[in-house]
Amino acid sequence: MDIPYTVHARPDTGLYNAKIGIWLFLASEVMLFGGLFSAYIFLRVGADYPWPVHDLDVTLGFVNTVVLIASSVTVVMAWACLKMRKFGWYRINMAITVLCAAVFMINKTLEYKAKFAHYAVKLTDGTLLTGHLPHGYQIKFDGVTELSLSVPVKKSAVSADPVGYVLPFIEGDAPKFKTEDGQEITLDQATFASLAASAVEKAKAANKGSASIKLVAATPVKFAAKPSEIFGYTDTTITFRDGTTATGKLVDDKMTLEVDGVDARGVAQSEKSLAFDHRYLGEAWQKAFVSNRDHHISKFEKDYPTRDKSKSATLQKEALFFKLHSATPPAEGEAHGEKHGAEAHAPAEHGGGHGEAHHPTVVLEKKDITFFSNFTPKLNTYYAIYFTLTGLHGAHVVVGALVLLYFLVFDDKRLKKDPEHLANRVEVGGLFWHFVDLVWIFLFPLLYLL
Amino acid sequence: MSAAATTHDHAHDHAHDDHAHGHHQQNFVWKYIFSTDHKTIGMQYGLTGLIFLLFGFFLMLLMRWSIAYPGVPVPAIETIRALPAIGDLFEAMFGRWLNADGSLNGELYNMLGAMHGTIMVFFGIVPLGFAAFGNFVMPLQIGTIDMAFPRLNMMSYWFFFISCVLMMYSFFVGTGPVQTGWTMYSPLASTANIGVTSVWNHGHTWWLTAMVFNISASLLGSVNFIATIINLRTKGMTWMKMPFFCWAMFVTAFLLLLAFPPLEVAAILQLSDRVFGSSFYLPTGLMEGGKHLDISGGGSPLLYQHLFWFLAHPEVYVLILPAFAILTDIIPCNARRPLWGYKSMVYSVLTLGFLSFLVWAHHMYLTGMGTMMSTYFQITTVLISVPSVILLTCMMISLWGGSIRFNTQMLFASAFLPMFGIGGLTGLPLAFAFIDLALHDTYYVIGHFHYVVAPGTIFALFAGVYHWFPKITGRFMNDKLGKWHFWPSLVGMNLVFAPMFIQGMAGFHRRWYDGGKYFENTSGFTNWSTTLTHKIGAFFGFDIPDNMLSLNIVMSIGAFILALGQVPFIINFWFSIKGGKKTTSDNPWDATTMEWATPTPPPHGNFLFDPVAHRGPYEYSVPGHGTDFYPQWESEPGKPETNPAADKVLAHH
Repeated sequence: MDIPYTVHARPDTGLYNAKIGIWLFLASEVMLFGGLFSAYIFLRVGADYPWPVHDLDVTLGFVNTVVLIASSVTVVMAWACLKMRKFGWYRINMAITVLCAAVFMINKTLEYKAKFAHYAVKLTDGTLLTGHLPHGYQIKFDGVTELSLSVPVKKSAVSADPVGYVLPFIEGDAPKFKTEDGQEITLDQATFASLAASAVEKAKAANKGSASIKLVAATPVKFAAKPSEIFGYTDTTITFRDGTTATGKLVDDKMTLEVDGVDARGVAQSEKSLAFDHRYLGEAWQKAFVSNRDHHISKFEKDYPTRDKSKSATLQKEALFFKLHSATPPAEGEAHGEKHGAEAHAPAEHGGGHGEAHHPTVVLEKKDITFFSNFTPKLNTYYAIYFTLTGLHGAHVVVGALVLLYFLVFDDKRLKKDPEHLANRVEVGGLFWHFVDLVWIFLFPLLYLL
Repeated sequence: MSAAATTHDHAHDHAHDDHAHGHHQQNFVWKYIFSTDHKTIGMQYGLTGLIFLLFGFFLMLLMRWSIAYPGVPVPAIETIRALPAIGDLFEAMFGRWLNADGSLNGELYNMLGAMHGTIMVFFGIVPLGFAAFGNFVMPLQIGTIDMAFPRLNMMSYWFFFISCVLMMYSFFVGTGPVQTGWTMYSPLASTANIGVTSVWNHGHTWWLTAMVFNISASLLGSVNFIATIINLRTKGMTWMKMPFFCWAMFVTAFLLLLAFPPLEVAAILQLSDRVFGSSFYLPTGLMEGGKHLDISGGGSPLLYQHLFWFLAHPEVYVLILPAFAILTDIIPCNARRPLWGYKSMVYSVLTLGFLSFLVWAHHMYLTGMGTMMSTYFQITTVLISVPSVILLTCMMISLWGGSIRFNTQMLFASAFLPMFGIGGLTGLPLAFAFIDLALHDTYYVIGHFHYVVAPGTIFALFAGVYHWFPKITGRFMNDKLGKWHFWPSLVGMNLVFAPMFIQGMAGFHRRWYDGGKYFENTSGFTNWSTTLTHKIGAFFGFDIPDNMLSLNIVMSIGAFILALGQVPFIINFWFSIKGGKKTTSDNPWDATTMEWATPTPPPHGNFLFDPVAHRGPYEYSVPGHGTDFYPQWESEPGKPETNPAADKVLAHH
């Protein structure tokens, strides 16, 4: 008992089963990516911030486009060779296809990696600073002696788990803690479990919803944690994600940033941006910014006398998104300063085009920062949809390449016994591969060029 | 009778099987658990679906208690808690959220509401209606041996099974299951409980993960259905000789195929909002608890609603089309009349499928869309009622002049027609923006869609169970118990859902966990229905208040009757498998479609002869014909088909 039409086409429909299957599957994939593209349009049209244009590395994207198109050609050749029973050429073409997929994914990884290390910081006045965090960014607490933990009696989403959520952020070795009964303990999974159990017993007896545990450190403790790793903090307390509170003193929550760009598009009077405060970039950079801005505006007025300045997104970006290429501001009128204008077109990550990147370092106070993130989905909706689209596309590339690799390596038996069936499989896999390619053909202009 | 003649040779079939494959008798695990046979997979889907329907119904009973008797402890709560095993399970799932006195609170009510919707729609009705009946019946009706991709079919069930496990697991995690309604609207759904220690402690993450598996299962299923119908129809089974059942499944599969991916997008983006901190659905400046959230903003909550309803409107037709599919087999068979207007039904169902993609924003009139947009969606929404009415009308006319056999499945089927009619007609006013603005999110809407899916689809599903049970097991379900199932169900359903229209028009909101007790201006309202309820209550010595709140009690009594009504069904279902009256024929209902040509129960490979469709699927009471039915597979009247199921398929290699 075998299913009919697995290899040969049914006469009246002219299709074998798998071919119908793959076209249907592709139809649903079209709806999947169609939904995502619609989301892109929706987000872009409705964006209430300057939509990042030309932010990505076009060269890398272009190389990837060429690589993928090439692989689409070779997969067809592989199928054709198999149909003509030229098994050697089939293998070579298939191998090239899989190799192209690998090159594509390596490029993609490099692109992602650069973004994860690059940060953007939004200041209270709407200025956006881009740059790198040479030392990372941590909140530092000192002189913490008391921990207060809370364990709910019934199962709940937030329950004290100091081993998982508090101890990792202690600088140096964890000290001994004293419990309320005066017992001295080293905090680990076992001691905490017994501590929590007895506290819960007590809370139950007292008919309370949650048990609280107080621990006193033998020696004052220092904490250092990224803001995303903890729940919140004030000048004197730090709350961890498991609800545990520590009392101590905030010593440092300043952010050291190597600035490579000042985006003043969100500021009403761009030259008064907080970035040019004397604590930060200062007057000299302000002058460089203003001369760059005025240079672009006058150039625009000369080139397009009839157009409205405020409506040109390109001008806004060139004039108000100022790239910093050196540690010190260029002197006025210097040839170097003029060069800036031309280079402001370059994408952010190419800021360091001069070889070693030198950037001014500023130490930002926490009260001036409203939001910061590296270039991940969190940064803005553009990067969110960028990562979702390219991430899902990348997943499709990987799966497609694995399937093709499987045909190449593990389907030898079928190759010898039933090459027609294998040709069908390669055709179906190839159709999927074309689809993956086609999605990229849409993604490239949408994300890199438009 | 002719089909009976074809059952003689089971051994013959097995011999073939062994010969072709050389494998031995399959053991239990491979035969019933990891089976690639479409019938077994259909039964797996069916049982899972039935269990989830019952579970979803229990969630609703708890909700109804809270609505009718807010602040009153759940009856017998201490007994339930004291039960061994079940008590612990109840405590972990629901009990830990109850108030100290054992009454429900808003938090638990929201969990129950969200999970009732999710489970009924995605884990009860779709698996039972589409996957179970479709898998079991459709390949038989088109005369093939199995689905086009049997292993994908198995994978589909197991993906679905994983999604069931994940969804049930969400009851046990720290925050409990989701509380944001089955629609999961952002920003609430994106930010609720965002401060939990780990995303895996939050039911929402599990909900989204479960849905990704559920969607993948539907996708595999629908690809399989469509490919099978296109490519595996047997000889003579042209498109217009195909039973309407298969047409309806065909369209349903397309709806699933094309409408589910946008939901997957919606789920992925929401997961990204929760896990990666993106702002797809979060507008700029969003605050919670007086604090700005640590997000970039710039997203749009409306984006979620568009993606969601682009799925969820076609989903409504995914819920109802399998019901039509089942009824178009049951009504002609028991009215002994051909299906009236087969062709117009086929064209209607295709139109319906197409239009269902163009109406989604009628769920969103309240979002303040422009008049142009809402005009467009009002027009498409009114348009889509035309094919729906054609379908319903054709089935009603099919009864005309028939000699109707009122067995249990026909009772359910004939109750479906007016019940679905009420559900459909009450939906018409909602199509208009100006009425919807007033009725949006009230009990009126709840009444409307429950009339469509509860006494509508679920009645059809019950009818289907009674109808195909003899084919699956070789035994009938008990007719008397079936009637004990039907009448309380009919009364209960109407007592539950009819008062909702009255309450809804009075302004009762669907998310009040206390049933409106604290909304005096709305609940203090009196009309004939409340007075009637009050008087009936007084007659029996109960003091039911003479205001809108009294209807809550009516509905809860209805729900209780409905619950009692399911007891005969459960007993009937399990006991008939081994103890029901045996069928004496392979075609006990004297039906005409091809599933009745197979031995009972159908073996692996289905047919003992090469089935050929000689005529249309609804040849009942053909003038001049000896019996009142003329099956599709008979080449001449009464002639048994003996042309053996040759290894026709091997010829392809």
